[in-house]
Amino acid sequence: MTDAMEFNESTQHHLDGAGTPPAAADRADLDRYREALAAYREALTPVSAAVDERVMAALAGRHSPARRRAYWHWFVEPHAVSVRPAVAAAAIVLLATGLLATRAWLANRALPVAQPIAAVPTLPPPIHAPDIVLPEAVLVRFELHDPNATRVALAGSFNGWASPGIPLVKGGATGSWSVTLPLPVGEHQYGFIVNGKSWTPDPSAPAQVDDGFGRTNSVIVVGPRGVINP
Amino acid sequence: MDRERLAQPQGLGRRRRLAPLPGTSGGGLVAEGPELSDGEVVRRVLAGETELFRILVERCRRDFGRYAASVAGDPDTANDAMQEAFIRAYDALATCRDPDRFKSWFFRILTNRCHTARSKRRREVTLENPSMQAPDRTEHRVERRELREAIEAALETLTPEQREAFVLKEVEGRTYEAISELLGVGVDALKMRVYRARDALRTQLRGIT
Repeated sequence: MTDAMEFNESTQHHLDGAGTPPAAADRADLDRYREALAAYREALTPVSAAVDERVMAALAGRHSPARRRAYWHWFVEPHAVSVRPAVAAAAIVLLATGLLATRAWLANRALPVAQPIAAVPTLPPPIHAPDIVLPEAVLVRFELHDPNATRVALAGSFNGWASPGIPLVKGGATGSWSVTLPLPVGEHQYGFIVNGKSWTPDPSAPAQVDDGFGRTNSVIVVGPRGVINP
Repeated sequence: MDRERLAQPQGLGRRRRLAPLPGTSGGGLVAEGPELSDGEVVRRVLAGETELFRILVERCRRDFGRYAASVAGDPDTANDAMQEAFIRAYDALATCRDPDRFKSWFFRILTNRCHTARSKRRREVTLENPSMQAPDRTEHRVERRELREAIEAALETLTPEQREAFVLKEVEGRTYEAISELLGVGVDALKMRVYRARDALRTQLRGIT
C-alpha cells in the first residue's frame, strides 16, 4: 500500500466523528468511502430470527448445562462422606486381600524376567557332613623296570589302545620308567610298548588276561580309594 | 419449541403472572417483572431453568446478527455459524466465569465460528461459477454492487482482528469504548486496526473507475 492510498490522520479523526473536515484532496475519496459503506450496510442481511428457534430446538435434546456443571463440581469439590464402621472394615479387608493377591500374582509373573541369568549369584554346592564326595577319577601310578629300554609307552582300554601310547618317564639310572594317570573307577586292561614295538604286560599287575589274539594284557580294578588288589 | 412450556418457565409460571420480557419479540417469551440481566439469566439457566437460554439467544442474535453476517461473509454462513456458536456456548455455559459479561464471552465464541466459516466458505466459493450470479441491470445498481464488492474485497485483505474492529466500528456503528469493552482491547489499538482497514478500503475503491 502506498502513502497516497492512506487517509491522513486528520481525515481518520474526522471519520471517527472528531476533528476538522478533510482537505480537498481527501474529500472525494472520503465521499466514495462513505458511499461504499452505505452500499455495504444496505446489502447486509443480518442473521435471521429463525435461528432462535433452530437453536432452541437443537438444545432440546441436550444435557442441561446445570447437569454438566454438577458433574464437574462433584469431581473438583470436597465431599463429606459418612461410612458405617462395619462396611469400612469389610472394604479394608477386601482391599488388603486384593492387594496381596495382586502382589502375589505380580511376583509369580515377574520371576523369570526379574532374575536374569547374569544376576544369579554363583554359590558353592552345600556340604553335608559326614557324607563323602567320592572322586570320579583316581590317580594310578604305572611303573616298569627295564634298564635296557630306550623308550616306554603305555596303551590300554583307558586310551582306546591308541599307538604310540602314553610315554613313561625314566627315573634316573635305576632303569625304572613311570607315569601317573587319572583313571575312572572300574576295570582297565593295558600293557607297555617298549622301544616302540615290543608289547610287554605289567609284571606287577594283579591280573593278566589273554586278549584272544595271542597277546597278554594286564588288568587292574580301580576303586574309589585306589587300585583294588584281589 | 413448545410455546406452552416457554410461557411458563420452570419455577416462574405458577408463582406470579408473568409480564412480557422487555427486549424480546412477540409474546412467546415471558419473564417476571423487570428485565433480567445477562448474568441473572445465565445463573438461572445453570440452576436448571434451561428455557431461559432463549433470552440470551435473542439478545445476542439482535446485537451481533449484522456483525456475524459481515464477518462470515454471507447470510447462510452467518446463520449456521451463529447457531453453532449458541450450542457451544450452551454446552460450555458452566465455564463462563463472569456471567455478567456473558455477551463478551459469547462474542469470542461467535467470532471464532465466523472466522472458521468464512475460511471454509472462501474455499468453496472459488469452485463456483461467477456467471451464475444474478446480474444487476441498471447503471446505479452496477455501481452500488461494485462499491459493496470493494468492501468485501477489502475485508478479505484484513487480519481477523482488523476485520472485527472495522465491522464493529464502521458497519455496526459502535463507539471505540463499547468495542473496547466487548473485545477487551485498548482504544488506541482498536483505532489502529480501524485506520488500517479504512486504508485498505480506500485502496480497493481507487481500483474502481
